[in-house]
Amino acid sequence: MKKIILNLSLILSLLPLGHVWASDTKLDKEVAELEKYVLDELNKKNVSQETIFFHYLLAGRETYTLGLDLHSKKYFTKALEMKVQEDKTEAYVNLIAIAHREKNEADKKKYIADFELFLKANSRFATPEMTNYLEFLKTGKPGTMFQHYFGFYSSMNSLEDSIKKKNYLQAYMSINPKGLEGAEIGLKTTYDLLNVLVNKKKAKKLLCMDTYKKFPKAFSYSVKICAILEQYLAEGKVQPTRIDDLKKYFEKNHQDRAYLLGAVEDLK
Amino acid sequence: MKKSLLVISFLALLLVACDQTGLGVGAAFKNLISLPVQGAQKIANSISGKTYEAYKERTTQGLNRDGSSCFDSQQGSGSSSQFNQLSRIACQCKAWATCLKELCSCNVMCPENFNIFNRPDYSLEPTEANSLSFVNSSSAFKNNKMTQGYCWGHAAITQRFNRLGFFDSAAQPVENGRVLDEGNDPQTWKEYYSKLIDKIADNEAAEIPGFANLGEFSRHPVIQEMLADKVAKTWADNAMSFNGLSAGLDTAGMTLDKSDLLFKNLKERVTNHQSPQLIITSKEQKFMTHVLLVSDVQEVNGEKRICLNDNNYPVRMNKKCNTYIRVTKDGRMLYPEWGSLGELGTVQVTKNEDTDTVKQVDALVKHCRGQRSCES
Repeated sequence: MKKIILNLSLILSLLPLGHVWASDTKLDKEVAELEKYVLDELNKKNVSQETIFFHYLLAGRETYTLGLDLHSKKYFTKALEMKVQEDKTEAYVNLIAIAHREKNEADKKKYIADFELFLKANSRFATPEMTNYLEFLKTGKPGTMFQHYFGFYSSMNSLEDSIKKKNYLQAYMSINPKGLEGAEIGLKTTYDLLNVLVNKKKAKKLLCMDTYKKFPKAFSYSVKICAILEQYLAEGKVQPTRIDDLKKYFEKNHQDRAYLLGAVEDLK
Repeated sequence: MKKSLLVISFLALLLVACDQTGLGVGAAFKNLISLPVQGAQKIANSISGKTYEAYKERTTQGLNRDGSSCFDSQQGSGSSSQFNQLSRIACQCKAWATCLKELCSCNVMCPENFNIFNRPDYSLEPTEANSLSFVNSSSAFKNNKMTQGYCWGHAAITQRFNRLGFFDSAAQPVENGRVLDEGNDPQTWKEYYSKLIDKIADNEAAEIPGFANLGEFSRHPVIQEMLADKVAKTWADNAMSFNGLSAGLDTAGMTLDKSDLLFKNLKERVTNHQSPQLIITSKEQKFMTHVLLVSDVQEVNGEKRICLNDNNYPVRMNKKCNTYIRVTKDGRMLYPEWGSLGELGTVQVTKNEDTDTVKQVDALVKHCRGQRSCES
């Protein structure tokens, strides 16, 4: 009886997803099939807690791969709630990834803290890889093991931090200009800005110039900053209207790069 | 037949998924895949794998989802007049043709299988036109010379635009009946293209007016900034997932069996007009990974080669199978770009490839049929 009630409550907890998925696209129909399959399995007699756990985990994985975050979160959360002695690493890792994707810092922090507690309480799952990954999540520094895998991501974050803290020399020194050949314009322009902040008028070629010359009026932070840098190198000053224009741009666009404005304002 | 294909594909999945290094995430992944829970494996291969295999079978048999034949170009014609026969030849009744429905059936013009990727303007060979104008910045930082940038995002976004983007330089961006002018209203112009980029990044088809191709599109700085953001986001979605971490641990090296299976798999995909995302790791170097696109598979003087579109390099280096993985007689895979030996660990199609492909087939069929008023 207890098991029937448990299964019934599990099914009821999943039902809202069924309604969400009742759409007419083919993929959604197949996802609905998955949901039905899970519900059927959970409704079977003598289903063990471990079976339920693994079904939640696998359904979470499938829906994660499909980019269905709402459903994936629901399944992984259900998996975490199960009182089983199985490895819950996948659920934690993917819930953290979803929170990162959604830029939900509160959730991300919570899942990282829960993940840490889980590894502490279940040392057999606290492998060097998972311990290192947890450390990377907490500090943003990839350590030796993840240097290749998360190195670029981590370096981009460090670059942003240095610029925000006005450590322009440190930020400038972290970049390898030879590695910027063919790079995207935002990174090139960031390097140019740092180059001018550090070397002032001695800064030589601007990497952003080719694009700027071709698209001088483009509504792009890179082009706007490049124009400012060109003027600074030519005249040793920046027109305040250009700074105001950049400020207005960042009010509605690329707010995650608005920290560059502070650096531009430091051109003196 | 269908059932046996499913079983084979599932066994292939197990073979790949189970051959991990046996540590950490890999071990957890292995446990999960080979878990002794009745029916759980069915879920593991329930959606993306099953649908992908179904599309593959339909492609081989020339069938659509409803079982109707793709090659039945007689539908609706009911005429064998010389004019109709000539028209059929003239308009080349095949995928993406723009013939009259009376002369060429919608099932042929918009096949619900991998032939939908066979667009007249689509080429697996890397060109300036079908590539992003910026490379993956793998060595942009001094302290991380060997890091791999946002390669996974770069490969995925390139593939999505090539499959789902319909460029038309002669058309103009129009919203609410008004032609958008970049000079007069740059904010609206930018937002218009931002929505198109979102659509394609979400595996939906979109027409992109004002630009001739992906190369030209991504050279525009406003567009390039948005695309670079999308590349970074897509990288994080994949690399920070449990699947991404698991792949980084797959460093054991290729065996003859695994190599043969992969080569056959890639050959099928290329034949089916696909340029799949491939994840490679360096042998016995955990988390030294890279994701790139396969442009072809070749056998040259008895040597098997997997031709690559490697986003760390400019297009000119990827043309005509200039960059490739060499498969040795004993099944090892060597990537000379990664050092003198460059022996690779596990090489595999990325976990998101089949899911992306299935979504893209559906999106393209819908787009194609919409353009040809096939549903009416």
